[in-house]
Amino acid sequence: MVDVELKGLLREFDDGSKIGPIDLHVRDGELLTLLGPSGSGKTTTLRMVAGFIEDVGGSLLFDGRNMINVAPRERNIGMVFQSVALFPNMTVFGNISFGPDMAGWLREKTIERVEELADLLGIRHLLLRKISEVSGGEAQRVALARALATNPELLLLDEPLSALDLQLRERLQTEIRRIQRKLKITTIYVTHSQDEAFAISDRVAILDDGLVVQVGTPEELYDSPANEFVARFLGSGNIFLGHIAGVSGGNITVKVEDNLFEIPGIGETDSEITFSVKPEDVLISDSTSNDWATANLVSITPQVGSFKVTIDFNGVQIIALTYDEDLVRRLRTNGEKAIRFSFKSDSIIILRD
Amino acid sequence: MNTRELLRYAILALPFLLLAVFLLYPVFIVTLQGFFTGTPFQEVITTPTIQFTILFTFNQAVLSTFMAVFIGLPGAFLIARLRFRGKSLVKAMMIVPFVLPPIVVVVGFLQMFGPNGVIDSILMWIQGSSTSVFNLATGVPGIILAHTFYNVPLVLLMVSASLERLNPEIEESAEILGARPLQRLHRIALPHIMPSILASAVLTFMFCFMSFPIILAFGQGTYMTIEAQIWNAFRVFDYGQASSLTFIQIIITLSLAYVYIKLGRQETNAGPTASIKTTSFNRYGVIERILILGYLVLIVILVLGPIVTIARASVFDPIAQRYTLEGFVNLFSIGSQGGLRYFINSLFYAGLATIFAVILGIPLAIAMRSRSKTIPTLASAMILLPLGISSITVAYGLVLAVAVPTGLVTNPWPIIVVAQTIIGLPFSARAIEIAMSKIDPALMEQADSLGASRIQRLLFVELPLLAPGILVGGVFAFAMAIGEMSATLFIALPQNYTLAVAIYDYLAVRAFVEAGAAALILVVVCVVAFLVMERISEGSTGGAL
Repeated sequence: MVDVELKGLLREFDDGSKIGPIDLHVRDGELLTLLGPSGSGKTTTLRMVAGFIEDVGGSLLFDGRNMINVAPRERNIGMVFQSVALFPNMTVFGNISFGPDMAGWLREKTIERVEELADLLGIRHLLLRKISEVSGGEAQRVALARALATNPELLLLDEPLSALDLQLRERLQTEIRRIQRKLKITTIYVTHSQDEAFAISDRVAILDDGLVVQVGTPEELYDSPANEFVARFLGSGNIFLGHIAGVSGGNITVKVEDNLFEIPGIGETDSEITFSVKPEDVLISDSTSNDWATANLVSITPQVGSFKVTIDFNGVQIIALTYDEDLVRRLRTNGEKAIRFSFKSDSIIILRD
Repeated sequence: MNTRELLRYAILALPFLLLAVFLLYPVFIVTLQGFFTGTPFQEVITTPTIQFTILFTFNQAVLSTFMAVFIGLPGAFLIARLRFRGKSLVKAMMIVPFVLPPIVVVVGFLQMFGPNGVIDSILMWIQGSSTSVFNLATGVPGIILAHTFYNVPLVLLMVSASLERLNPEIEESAEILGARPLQRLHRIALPHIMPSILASAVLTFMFCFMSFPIILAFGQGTYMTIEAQIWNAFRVFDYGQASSLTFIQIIITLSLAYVYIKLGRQETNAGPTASIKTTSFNRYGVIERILILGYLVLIVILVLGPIVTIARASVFDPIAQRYTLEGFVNLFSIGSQGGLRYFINSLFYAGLATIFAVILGIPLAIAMRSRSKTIPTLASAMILLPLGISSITVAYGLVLAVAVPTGLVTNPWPIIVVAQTIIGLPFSARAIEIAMSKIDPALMEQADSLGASRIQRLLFVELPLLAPGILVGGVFAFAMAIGEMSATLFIALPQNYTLAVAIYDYLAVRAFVEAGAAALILVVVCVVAFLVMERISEGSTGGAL
């Protein structure tokens, strides 16, 4: 389809705030998600790619062609908006055929295309309905069909599922993924939901304060967050801020509040350091026969397939995941507040900044 | 049913009862009378002059409506799409012509477009002429222009509000699907605003159809609406003709009111909207900028001009060609020839009418929000009924069915108050209803859960929350009542004349500065009323339409 490159894409606003410069490469046929909290610039970036934002700096390359001064309707883009934005004065058919009509397709070809897409999305029975007569999930399918009708090279999806309930959202995620794979259409997807991003994407770009902070596959991002923001945003870890108290061999001793942690890594004594440990890499035990540190148990919350255990280590809250039902039962019954913990040694991630 | 519930129903029933006695019954009596007394119905409608009047009423309304929509539409797009400073103020000020009494508009139009008016004076100066060279404030052009002035803001307000409800992402969808600006206008924006265009057109047509003061002033007896002809017939005691015409008019206006209400419910809800996409002026091309500026000049001349020049009308005597304060002096002098009693009458009648409109408006508003199925419909119908029944019909009905039997014809001031109450009631009830709809029901439940009794809840929670709405409703009703001329002229004897009626009287005897001074006072009253409403309701006054 098309290979999209954002090079220093920048929009400055009158109030002095700005989005960008954004550098991002969306490869031909991949689904890349822009993920970030609200206000991080995801939608603005997407709208810059669509061409709805004026005075954009930098360059936007579609297969090497600069599109900055090309009108949205000439960019060969399909887009699904957050509000779905179906035309209320037309039928489902009228909505899907709008693009082909504008492009001056022959009637037979248009009808054929609309029916093909309707079959692909399972909405053929809706074609003659008014927009007010379709449900939320159906409206999303119609919007997707409408965006795909003229065979665009690039598909932009702006939080298309945010208004739907969880079950429907998950079903449509799978469906979008299936259709995107089938058509091999280059796709940029915007969401603020990490679950959604991880479920649907080939790669995810994390945005913070108008800048891309990290791009990678879901696994890469989860396993090695580049900085504290990413680690916190993805919820992938206990984050500790401290400074290096000592260096020995391949290990450093980090002082967090008044506690010492020995972790693998290199660094200079007295320099500040941030590191994270994923909850599943925090080991807990009620046995006293090891040399683990002792902390106080705060709470145990059951989750799907595991328990979330919160412990307090001299004022530092640490979250651990455990699958050990026996341990949890013992912790709950014996009323003992003391608990021992340790980090899996190879699991500590030292974060930049 | 216990006593408390009975009392509740009694309070709710009061406005219905009063409207039945003072509106439905009189209108029924006068329309019925056309078939039994005086000139028979068939003879009335076959008279050539009457046929001309009916035809003219239609034609001028069609032309005025077309003009108002044609001029208002570009403005609606500008209001919705152009980003400029003071936009909310401009939008808010659009309501001013609506509360401005028509007879005041007549004075403004004479001053702007009439002989020795502002435009005429400029043209005379350019041409070096000592006699008047330009007069648009007369005959059919005057009627059409004044109606256009009145209704352009209406079209502007209603259509721009609808445009602002169009989700910008819908237009962007069309854009990215390949639609060019004209295609988007044709296929997306126009279908969306069509109901609001139709609704504003129907409303405009209705107002023009029932037009009275402007017709009297500019029609010069040749061009009459049905409304004006009813008054004429009544003055020569031809009740048969007056009633027949009332019957014809009411059938048409009530049908239009029905269409208007139906249209109002048609607006499609485009779902949650992102912020409206606006463009600042210097983003437009040169030709577009020239067009925008040209349009603004047109609006300033047509809409702002007549209002502003009323100030000149109050001090410039076109006959003597000089500036004078005599208008104000005469207006505030006491005695049988003095104008002060007009002012006192105006305040007294409008004040009473406002009090009644608010007292009746509260139960009507409560009834509109009742959970029952029939009561809200009935209440809405009662509120909208005066919209479809012309002021002259109301006045004619009141005089014939109430004043004559009770002997009030010799000093009919209570009838004037009743008429002004009926005319102000839709506005007060609507404003109060809007305020009610904004109260969070959880607050009421909170009061209940804290142990408040019904009376305590009403006194300490509901009424204080409603106070701004009641005030807005009252001010709106007051503005409508004090500017009311048609019904008041119809009912009043000379000792009952109000400022609005006096303006007509002054114009008739060519006492232009007195008319101007009185008009300026009414303008000030209406502008102050508007400012008060604006301050209290924070820009939502337009909703009362």
